Amino acid sequence: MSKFRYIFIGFMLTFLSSWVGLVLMPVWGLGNFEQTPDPATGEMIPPKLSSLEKEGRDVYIANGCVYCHSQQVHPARVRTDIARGWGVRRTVARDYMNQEVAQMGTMRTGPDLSNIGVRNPSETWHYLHLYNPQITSKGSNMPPFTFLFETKKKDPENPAKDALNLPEGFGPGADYEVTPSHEMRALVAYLQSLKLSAYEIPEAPAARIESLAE
Amino acid sequence: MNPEKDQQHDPEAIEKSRQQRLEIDLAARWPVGIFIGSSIFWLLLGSALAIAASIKLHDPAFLAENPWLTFGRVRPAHLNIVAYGWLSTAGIGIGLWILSRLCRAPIRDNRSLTLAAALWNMGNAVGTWGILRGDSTAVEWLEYPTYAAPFLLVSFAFVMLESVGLIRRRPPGHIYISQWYIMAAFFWFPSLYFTAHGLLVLAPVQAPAQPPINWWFAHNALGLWFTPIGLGAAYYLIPKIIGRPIHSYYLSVIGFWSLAFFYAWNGMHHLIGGPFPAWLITASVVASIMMFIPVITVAINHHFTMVGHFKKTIYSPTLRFVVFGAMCYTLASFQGSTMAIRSLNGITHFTHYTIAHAHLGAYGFATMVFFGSIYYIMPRLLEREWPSRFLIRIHFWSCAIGFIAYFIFLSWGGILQGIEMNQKETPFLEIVALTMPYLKLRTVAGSLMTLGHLAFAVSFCWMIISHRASTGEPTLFSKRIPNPDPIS
Amino acid sequence: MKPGNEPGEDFDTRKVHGAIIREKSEPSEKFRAAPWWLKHGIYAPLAMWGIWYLIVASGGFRWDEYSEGYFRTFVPETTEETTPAPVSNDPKALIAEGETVYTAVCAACHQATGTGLPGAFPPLAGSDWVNGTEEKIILPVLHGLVGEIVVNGETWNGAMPAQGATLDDRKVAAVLSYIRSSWGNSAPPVTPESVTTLREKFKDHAPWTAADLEAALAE
Repeated sequence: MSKFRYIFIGFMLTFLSSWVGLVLMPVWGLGNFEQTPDPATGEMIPPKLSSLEKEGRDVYIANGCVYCHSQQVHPARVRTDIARGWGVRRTVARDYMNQEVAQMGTMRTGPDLSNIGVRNPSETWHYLHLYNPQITSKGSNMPPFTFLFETKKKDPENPAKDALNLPEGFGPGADYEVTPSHEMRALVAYLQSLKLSAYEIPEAPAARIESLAE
Repeated sequence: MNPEKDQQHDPEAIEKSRQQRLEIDLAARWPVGIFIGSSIFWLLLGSALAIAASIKLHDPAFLAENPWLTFGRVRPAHLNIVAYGWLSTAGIGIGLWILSRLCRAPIRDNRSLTLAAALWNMGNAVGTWGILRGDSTAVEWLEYPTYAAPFLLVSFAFVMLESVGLIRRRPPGHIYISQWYIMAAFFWFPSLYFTAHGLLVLAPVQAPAQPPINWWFAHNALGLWFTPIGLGAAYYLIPKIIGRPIHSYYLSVIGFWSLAFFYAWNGMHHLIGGPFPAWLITASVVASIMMFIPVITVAINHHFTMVGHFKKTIYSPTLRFVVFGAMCYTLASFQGSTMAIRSLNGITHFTHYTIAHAHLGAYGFATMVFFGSIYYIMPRLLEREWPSRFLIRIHFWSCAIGFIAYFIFLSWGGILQGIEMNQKETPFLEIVALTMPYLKLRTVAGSLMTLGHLAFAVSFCWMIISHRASTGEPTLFSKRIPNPDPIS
Repeated sequence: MKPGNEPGEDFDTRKVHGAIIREKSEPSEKFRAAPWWLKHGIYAPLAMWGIWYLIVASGGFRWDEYSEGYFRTFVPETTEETTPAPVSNDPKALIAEGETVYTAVCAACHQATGTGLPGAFPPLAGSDWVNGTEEKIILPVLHGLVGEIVVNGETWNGAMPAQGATLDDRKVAAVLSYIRSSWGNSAPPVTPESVTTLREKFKDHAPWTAADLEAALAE
């Protein structure tokens, strides 16, 4: 047993080194951010999510949006995130402090969503897009999320105010109306809250200059 | 000096060692058999979900009406099923059997291990159900909701207990390198899972600190769990089949320690360019490049052990699968190291190229080595031979050709995707259109791989239900063996 | 389990299992040293590169340094001097800037070629609004537009979100100049000054309705 004991201690120590470096250090250095006042408006940034937005984030998580959409703007060194309008500066750690669950993602089958709240503020667009992406983005391979909408027989006397205005060829037909479910409303509220790098925070200006310089 | 050497000439010692092995295999029959058998079920389910997810990427309306089958749930379900249902379940079975063989000690408590197998499968079932019903955590590689974690951890505690028991009961003397790898894996995996699940799901830390922990875990699930089990199996099976000692003990040891240290630090290369301080990323970039050390060392060690015996892969299914896997390990690691270089990562990150790379490690290496190991272990556990050489051939060629095609198509599509994504003039939807043909070809290649899995499953079930007595002759790829040397 | 096979009992392995008999003995290892070229040709250079890169590419090991350059780390104050390039009021530059803004903010709804989306988003190409007075499009961009509107004789009912908070005056002018000069439109460019004037005049106005807008413009 004696010899194996040394092997055991050895491989647990190598493991511990990475545990300290890649778990403990990030928890300590990236896990204690506090809000700062916006130099321009005096509001505390980054803002907190409202309860509806939190519900929306849970819908985002449950349906695995993260497998195709990242939430991180990269500097303009190699990638074109900033040129594509995905954000005015790269995102920094503090931007995520109020997200509670990081959904930064590692795949871009679809475009980045870090600042979707800034670059696409139209509620209508989101509803149409999520009902069937082919309506707004022909050729997209994003799945339709029809199950987050309610389809009802239309009452000609009293049509629903929030019914989607679906173009021809989409939707269940003229006799029916499609309205967003509560979950869908929450999801769109969450998407509209995503403005991760749309404001200035102390460590961000340096990042912005770096993005512009290269 | 070497007791093994003397055994080969002393009939009494040979008989004793055979008897000992027979006892070991009999004691392992139920627990190891259940782990391996159930892993094949998960392999099939994982393959089905993989094909569904693959089709969805080029035909988004496919099965889109049902929330349980939306892409964002099917994809993580696939990943978790193949990682924890197939690879881990098979890995535990294979690891325990090899450990038991090398410790020259039969598994003592096979009741607790059978319970462990049941719990492990329950954990997978509950976790998969949780993902599909919408309780996924959306933390990559860790999507099983919290209520699945206790099953996995309790089950693993039994496995760890038994493995410690085996190590304690081993006779004094040399500790073979496979024992190092397998024991390390049996301790690393629960430590990883416990830490990551605790800090990301159970009591989450502030969001900016989550991705580093996430990728420390996810990369090490491959690097400190599937890889050591796969390498341990390769180190055991290659010399076992060709009847030759490993080239160099020193290379084995260097390979082990450098893997243990550098692989553990690799994870942050998934976050290059992300909102993390430069040093954190650089530490992982350096560790990733340093992976050349263990990989070249292990490759040299395996190669010099195999030299002059490569012809045996014509006959032995186990050897062919394992050698294919070992070569993929070298390739996957070289590729992984280059992908960690910041400038190349600028193209490959966020694309299908990464997905292809992940499959080179998890499929080309780990899965193929595990297939080979199962071909070796099952005849010994069941005292029966594999029923059909035809099915084994179908299995190998479908999986090998399917996988190589999968890898080439997806890598190529991924590179194009990455290059175009870095051109600001290319509209995003054009990039989607550009990758379409490659995504369709991926579905074809994936279906071929699934065909191989079906052949494997049929072969396995047939072996279990058949009552044919053992002929004593191994089921090899070819009937005619020019050399009378037995090789399986 | 067949009788006679239980562990510990006497049996003839030969009858029981061929696999065990043909199996080679458990593996062992030779003690060959690692080749010299591996140590000096691979391990050593890799280790040296690793240490060098760890030092120069870690941004001084600071938590708030995101860029890996070691030397750049300690001179953020001087890079602060890279003030924005002199602003040109040349309409051509304005239009070029506007294209970027359009792609990022407007194209999703109004589409890349300004055609809009039947039933949901009105067209910009050939639109009587776009080619009309500049106030009629500056104000909806600044504060949003809701309710029924008529574009080229067709009625639309939607909600245009306010962009005044996220786009500064120059960007609003740029994107509108771009729209007014693209896809067959040929209205004069919008100047940042007129945006500034309107923003001041209707400070924090609620989203416009068509009637509301007409009334304001008639003043």
